Amino acid sequence: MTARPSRRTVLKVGAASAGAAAVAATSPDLLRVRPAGAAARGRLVFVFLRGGQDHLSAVVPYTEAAYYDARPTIAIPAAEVRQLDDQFGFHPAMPGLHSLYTAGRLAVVVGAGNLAGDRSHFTAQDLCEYGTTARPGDAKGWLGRYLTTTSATSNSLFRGVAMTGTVPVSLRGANALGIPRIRGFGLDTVVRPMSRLIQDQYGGNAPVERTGIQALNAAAQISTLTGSIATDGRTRAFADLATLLASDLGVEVAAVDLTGWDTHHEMGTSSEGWMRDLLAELDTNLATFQSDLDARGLTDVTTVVMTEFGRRVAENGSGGTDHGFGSAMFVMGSRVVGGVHGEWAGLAPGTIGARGDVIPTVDFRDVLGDCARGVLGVTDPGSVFPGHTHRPVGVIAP
Amino acid sequence: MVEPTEILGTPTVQNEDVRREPGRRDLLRNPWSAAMVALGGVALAACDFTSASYDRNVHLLRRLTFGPTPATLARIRSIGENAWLDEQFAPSSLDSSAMNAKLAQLPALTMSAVELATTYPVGVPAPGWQLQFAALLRAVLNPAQLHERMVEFWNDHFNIYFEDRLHQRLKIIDDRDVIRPRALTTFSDLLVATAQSPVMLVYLDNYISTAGAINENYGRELLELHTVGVDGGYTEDDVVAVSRLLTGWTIERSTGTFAFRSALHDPAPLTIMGWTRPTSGTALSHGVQFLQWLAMRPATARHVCTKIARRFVSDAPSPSLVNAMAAAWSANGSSIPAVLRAMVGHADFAASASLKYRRPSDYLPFVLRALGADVVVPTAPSQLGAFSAVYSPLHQTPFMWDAPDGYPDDEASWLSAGADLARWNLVGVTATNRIPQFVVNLSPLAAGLPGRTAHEVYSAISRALVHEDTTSLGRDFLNRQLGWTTNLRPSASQIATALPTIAIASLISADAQYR
Repeated sequence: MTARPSRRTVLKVGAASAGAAAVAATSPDLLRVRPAGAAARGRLVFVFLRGGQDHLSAVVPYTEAAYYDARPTIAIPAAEVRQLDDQFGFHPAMPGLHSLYTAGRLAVVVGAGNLAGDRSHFTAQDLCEYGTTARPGDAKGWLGRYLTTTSATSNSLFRGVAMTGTVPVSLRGANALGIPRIRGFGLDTVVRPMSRLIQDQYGGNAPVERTGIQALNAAAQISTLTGSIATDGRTRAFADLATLLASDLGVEVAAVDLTGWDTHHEMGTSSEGWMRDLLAELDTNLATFQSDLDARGLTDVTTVVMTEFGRRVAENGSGGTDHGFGSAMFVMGSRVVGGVHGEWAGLAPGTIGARGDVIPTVDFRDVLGDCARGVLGVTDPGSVFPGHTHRPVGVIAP
Repeated sequence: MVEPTEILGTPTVQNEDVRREPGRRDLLRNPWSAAMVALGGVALAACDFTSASYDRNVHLLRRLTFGPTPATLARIRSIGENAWLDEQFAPSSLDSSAMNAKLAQLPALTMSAVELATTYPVGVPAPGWQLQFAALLRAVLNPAQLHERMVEFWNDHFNIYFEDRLHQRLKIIDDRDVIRPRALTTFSDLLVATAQSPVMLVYLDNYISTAGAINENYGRELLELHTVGVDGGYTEDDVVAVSRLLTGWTIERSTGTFAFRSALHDPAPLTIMGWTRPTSGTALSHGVQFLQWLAMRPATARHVCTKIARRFVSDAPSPSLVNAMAAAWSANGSSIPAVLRAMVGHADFAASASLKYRRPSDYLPFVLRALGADVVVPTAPSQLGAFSAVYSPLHQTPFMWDAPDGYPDDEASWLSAGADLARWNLVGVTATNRIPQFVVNLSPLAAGLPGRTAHEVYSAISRALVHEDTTSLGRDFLNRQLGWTTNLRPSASQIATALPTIAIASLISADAQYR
């Protein structure tokens, strides 16, 4: 059975949007809230790669024989990697990120992860997004905690936005907005005249009522923006986000999801296959996003990329890899300290544990904590990551 | 024959307007007609426009169906809750001929894997949209509503993603031959059937898991998602052992059906969570026995009952409720009807009237049922553009959740400003008949209303749609919007013009009240 895997994601976001439910601009009767002093702090984009991105395909330890021994059919040949240093190289499908790396605008953290470790996608994603090693009492995501526990720079509705239909766990607890696309985030023509009714009917304190009022206000404010016309939701998410960041709506933190990384089978080779497609898409999305930000002069925006866990060192019986442990993280933007960060223990049999994992040496919260402190201006990262003592990794310039 | 093929961009591409058939507007076929007569005679005569007291039957229908309609409410009031449940637990006893006539327009639904592969090769639109449309059609029109609700539940629990044509084709068979026939039987039977379902074997990679070269994907999700749950007491060694036990469970390539290949199977003795492989019987039977054993674990009962309670009662089911359901599970061989009876008989169910926010995939059929909409099957995939435009802002298009845990079921996952906008807009475009696939005729709502005051009109329409008056806070707005005054007794033509506005107001207000 030659099950060449296709990308798991295109259908999910590719649904055509025809005119029937198209909506127009809303009544502009609500005052736009201009963020006060937002420019003084940086802003952060949190990209989550759902499914467990394979560290060793993206950031390849191309000098280690153990890597090639463990992956007879899916390893990236040393001659083909885009070198980062004398130890690591990018997959050849990542030219855009490699250029950013060369320009000193991309930090690569090897051997990162949640040291509590969990091979369940769903538990591991939740913990990464909560920023904890167990389910937190406040049920807030780490970005939600940032929004609610630090002194607000503005009372903008748009302080926290997710470029998704629903709000991911990372932004929970802060009334963050989910804006899957700018075009369409508004009221239908027959509903628009009923805003007043909705204000009256949604006047209580139930969650659905609070989001209802938020929806009315946000739709009024967003109505002047022109969203991307891209039909690929993944590309559009970044294009729309750049538009939001360039507006005066007061976006401070944003979350973007990229799915499809659960590569249990047929990952393919350096030149074709599932992993190559995934990495090429990631590379295009991130590099294009950074170019877009650069063109708009948005040097205050930093992007951090993570996944819930890496994958096993050895390939499985299906040309794929099963759930592992340590993963790679990326930090992109004008404020980063470029280069490879983290301590690499190597892949020798004695260093990869009983099940053959990249054992993480860098707690993911220390990378996110660097961003919270160096980008968002959080003086005590412990306020965002309760119970965790911050150990700087040095991905953000002081 | 059944080869994975390149991904199809989307099941829907064009927005091509579908001309509606005037015959579909036939008033006599509109489910409201009879109810409005009843309303005129009973509800209006009682002049009780403000009471929102708990109505057990309405509450039960809000949870166990995709939304109360006058017909379903009349039925449960007529025969009583227990007899209604009996009827719902025997779906084949209900007359579904009207729905079946529409389903017959979706030919992929009855095909074999080979027929699907030959009928829908690369180059013609993939068949997945037919199952997506059928899911909505059934949710709206199937009189066996509880069966449909449980089919939706199990399709989430044993989630399959329309990753490519192969998954679409095999999911059509899974929905038809695995999930639907067992949705109201026992979990044990359902679990074994899903483990042997070709689409599950492909989606979670078990079909390529072989002795000495296992793939842990299915073994892990079987324990974590399908049965005992992530806290169910298994270890990483158990994940490996399950995967070994199920090596050789694969598919026959020429037919797309389940096959056990002993040559690919690892027959070694093993122990999983205290279960030990028997020394007699066939290797295949060992896997089946393990699944049956797994289905009856207390942890499985608690995990699955918690999810059922979360779907039908509240996001955070109490231990008391879950224990009652799990006890019914254990005492009745994982009987799904027994579990559901225990659930509706528990005090928490009665007390949950405003505790559940409808997921988008439940909200859409709810709105259509409330509005008495007819659903028109598109005759070509190109006509699905408008249908897609309805679904995409709701972010819960059927079979499009890519992770094996299925679409989430809690309010926190769904509630957001964008979700509110999408729901209001859905009500707006549907009530004003702008979705070619949904034909709405509001005029029967006006029966018996001329001569009533403005407030009575609002209340009656709201009650007809959502079975209580949700407009009390919106009367001033409606008066201003319609140019009416409280003491006005609007004419028939005034009411006819105002119907969409009042209907939209009723439904939007109902959503704010978790109705």
